[in-house]
Amino acid sequence: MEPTTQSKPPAPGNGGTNGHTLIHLDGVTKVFFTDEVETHALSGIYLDIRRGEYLSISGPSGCGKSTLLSILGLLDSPTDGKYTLNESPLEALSISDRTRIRNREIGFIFQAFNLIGDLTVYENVELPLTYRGMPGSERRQRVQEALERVGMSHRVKHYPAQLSGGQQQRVAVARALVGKPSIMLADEPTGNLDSKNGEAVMELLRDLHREGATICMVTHDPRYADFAERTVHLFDGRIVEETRA
Amino acid sequence: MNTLIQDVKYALRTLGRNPGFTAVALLTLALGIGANTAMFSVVYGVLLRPLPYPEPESMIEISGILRGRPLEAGFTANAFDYWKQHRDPFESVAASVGQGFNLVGAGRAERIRALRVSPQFFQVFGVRPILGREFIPDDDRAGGPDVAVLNYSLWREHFNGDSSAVGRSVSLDGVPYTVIGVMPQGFASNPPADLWTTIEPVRDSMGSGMNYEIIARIRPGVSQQQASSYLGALSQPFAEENYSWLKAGDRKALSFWAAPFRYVISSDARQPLLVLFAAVGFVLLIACVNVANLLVARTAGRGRELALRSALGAGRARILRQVLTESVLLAAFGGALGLLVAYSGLDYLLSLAPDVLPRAEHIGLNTWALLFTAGTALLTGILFGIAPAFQAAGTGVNETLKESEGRASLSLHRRKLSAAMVCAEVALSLILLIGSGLLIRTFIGLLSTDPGFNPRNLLTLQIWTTGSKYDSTPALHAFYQEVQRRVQAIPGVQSASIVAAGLPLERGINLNPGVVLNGRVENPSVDYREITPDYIQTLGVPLLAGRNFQLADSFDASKVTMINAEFAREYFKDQNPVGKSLTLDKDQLEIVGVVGDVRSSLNEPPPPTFFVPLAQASFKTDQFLQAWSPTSILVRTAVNPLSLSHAVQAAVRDADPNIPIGHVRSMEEVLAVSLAFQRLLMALMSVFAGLALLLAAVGIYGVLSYAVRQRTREIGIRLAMGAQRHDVLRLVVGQGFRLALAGLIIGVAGALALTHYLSSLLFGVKPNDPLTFVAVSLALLAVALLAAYVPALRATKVDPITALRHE
Repeated sequence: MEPTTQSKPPAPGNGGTNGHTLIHLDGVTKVFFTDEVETHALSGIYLDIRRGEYLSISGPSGCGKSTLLSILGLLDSPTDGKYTLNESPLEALSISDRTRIRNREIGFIFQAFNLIGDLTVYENVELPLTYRGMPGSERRQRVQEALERVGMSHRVKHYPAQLSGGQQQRVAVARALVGKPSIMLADEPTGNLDSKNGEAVMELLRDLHREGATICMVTHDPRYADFAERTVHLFDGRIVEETRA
Repeated sequence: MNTLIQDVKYALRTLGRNPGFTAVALLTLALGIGANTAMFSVVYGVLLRPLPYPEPESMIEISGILRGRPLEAGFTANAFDYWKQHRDPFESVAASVGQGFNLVGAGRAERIRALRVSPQFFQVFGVRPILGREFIPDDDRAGGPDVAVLNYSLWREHFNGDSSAVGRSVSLDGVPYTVIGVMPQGFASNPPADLWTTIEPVRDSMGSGMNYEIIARIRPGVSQQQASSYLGALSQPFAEENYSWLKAGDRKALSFWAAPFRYVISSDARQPLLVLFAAVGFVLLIACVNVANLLVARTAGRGRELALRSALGAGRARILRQVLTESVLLAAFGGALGLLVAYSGLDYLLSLAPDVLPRAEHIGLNTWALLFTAGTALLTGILFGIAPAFQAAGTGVNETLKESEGRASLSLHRRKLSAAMVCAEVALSLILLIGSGLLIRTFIGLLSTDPGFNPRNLLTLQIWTTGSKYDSTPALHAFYQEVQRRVQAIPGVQSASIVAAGLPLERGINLNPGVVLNGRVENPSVDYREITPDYIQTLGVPLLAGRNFQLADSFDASKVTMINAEFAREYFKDQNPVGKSLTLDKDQLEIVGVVGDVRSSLNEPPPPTFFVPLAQASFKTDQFLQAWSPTSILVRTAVNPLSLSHAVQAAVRDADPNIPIGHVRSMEEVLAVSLAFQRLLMALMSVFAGLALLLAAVGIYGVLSYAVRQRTREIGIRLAMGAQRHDVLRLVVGQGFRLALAGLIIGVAGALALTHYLSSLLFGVKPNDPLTFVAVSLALLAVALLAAYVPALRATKVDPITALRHE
């Protein structure tokens, strides 16, 4: 691994928007205002993620990893700075447009799986497609493919509570990839798993990446950070170090 | 005891710590219990309160039943003789028949209510006079003395409460009656009367030998059922002897029974009151379900606390008691507030029903109502507390303690229970709303029913000429003409007329004129009215054929009659009735005209009616009819009719100050009174249904609000997956819609099963009226969706980041 950049404007050839850049963050800051206290969660983030890249974001608790991931996932908006996805600026979009882009371009994998307990495995995976208004036959095919891809096609009628943690996370991965998003955002995907299941999920993500998926993963576990091609280290809301595998 | 006090203290503290929950629960319970207490007070006062007579349960009325319906015809004097001879189960048997008298005294005539009664009448009531004596057999015979027993008020008013009144006389219809007794204060017979006199003198006079009511007091040791069996066994021989005018099949079907007196007095009000009581019971049930639902939700939130108690050694029973203490305490406070609701609600309820409910003077919040409230509150507390209590006691300790605080949520089973309760609420509300809808449609139907005349700007007042100086038809007619002349001279009066034997929209007299039917003379029972020629013009009734009565139709002229359209349809079919004739007594009456139909009751078809000119009416008949039905003056005005009330009364008094005047009303008031019962029924049912709807809406709102809180994380996930706000809105409203729809389906089934109990209270609408069912269901659905919309809107504001951090 070799350290590369810090939290500053990207060096030529490593930043800016070109044909290979999927995401471009330009001086993104996030400030939370609670009562009379200002908390600077992110302070000027400059970051590019290329298509097909496997990026890991690491750092200690409270460094801003999850906030960054929320902004990348369009769950939150920056206080300042620019966010470009697929060469389209996203700052001025309406909530509805942001939701639509999130649905089509981004797949989420959460630490706590976040499957809906009342829905079956099939329905959970199908969920992003239903919001896309996709015809039923196409949805069925996509869900089937996604579940087969993660090795869960034999559990379509099960409910999350009937699955192990590792199985639940595989279903969550299927849900993230079913919509063929531009990027999958994984927030501590192994955090709730034992080492064996954690390894399996990481292997799955690596396989997906090898098949061309762009993945951005937050983790504080150095073992798993090494699965990524590139790791950015956050500290106090800034990128303090960037390493490549 | 100590632990109970501890439970109560803790429950009080818990309720105090959750002011929002406590306030909603208390308000819900107060409304539910209060409405029930108010309605119970009415039911108790009218149906259950013991009659104010000694051993009232021994008092019965002999009643006939023909094919499941009460026989409306009264008994005859001969029938009374029969029961006097067949009285084994009875200690005393008495007959009564109503009659009004003109009482002249202190320069002004007054109409009083009297009952002609047989000697054992007061013995049946078990009440003796406070002064003098009651009737003895020697009083009650043809040619016997004219004697009277006064009620307490009449004695006070006319004799200033003087004990020497006994032996003195009162002038009734110009005849002196000797006062033989005074009844105690507060005594009221049924029907109530100002004085009582003997029945036998009118036995053979026209009509008075009929319409007897027969009451009896059962001997000690004989039950009401035994007395009924005795009467039932004698039904056939009695019917053969006394009901020869009935068809043979009907005579065979006729049976008699000993109807409890309390039942008789309130029989008309019984079914409507029981329907309303059931309706208000539904409201309480909905309130219970609502509070139970709130408690289930809250108990789920207290899962950790209860699990901790279990872990520290509290047994199932202990936790059950802890939670039940809280609910019973809540119900007790709800009951106390309910009493306040009942107190004000009862006033409102009685203001809706002036003179409609029998024994209304006995309605009030008494000990029984307090006991009812206490019992209801206790039962309610247990009812709505039991589900959450068992839920609490059944909480799995280990699992619950392992759950993080934020995850404390309703299990699938509990959610199903909660959803089932909301469905039940919606179903119960729908049943009430449909009942109310049917009654509203009935009422609207009645309001839009054409009474057959124009009731606006019409003043009516009653007069009685019995015992006056007018002793012949011409003399009486001259008085009526004088009254008409004076009234017509009042500025603002357009026309005035006089009608005897019954006012439109009120029950009148029926007679049996001879009509030639299929070649033979028959005597159908039809309505009878005596009128002046101005009657149809004053009422605004159309003349359909022939001519109206004229001044030339005088006492000495040939006798004429007019019939209404219904009479013509029923008895003359396609023939022109004008020129044909009816017979009445021995007179031949030529039909000179056919007039439009006028209703005696808005919810019944117009009865066949025949009219005779007052100028030709039999004086004897006229005087006899006034015993039951006063003569009325009808005044068509160009101004507010009540503004001429004093002038019209003055005109009558100017014509003759000794003629009593009563019931000065506008015809719109008569119309309102005729609809008073339906109005009361509709209003109360609507209030209860509205309450039910409100509670159901609160229930749906509460459950969905809680569901939204519970599903915050799920909603966050959905939003993260790309759900738009409208998807979330649809998700929550859809949940409400499904609950409401399930409730509606159950409710429609329930309503189909129950609304037939309303059949006898409906008019112009069937109990399964599709329009009402559909309209009410849609309205309820709309309210349910509205109730769901508020939490749904809140759900759309869920912040996915915050929601997803609830891990």
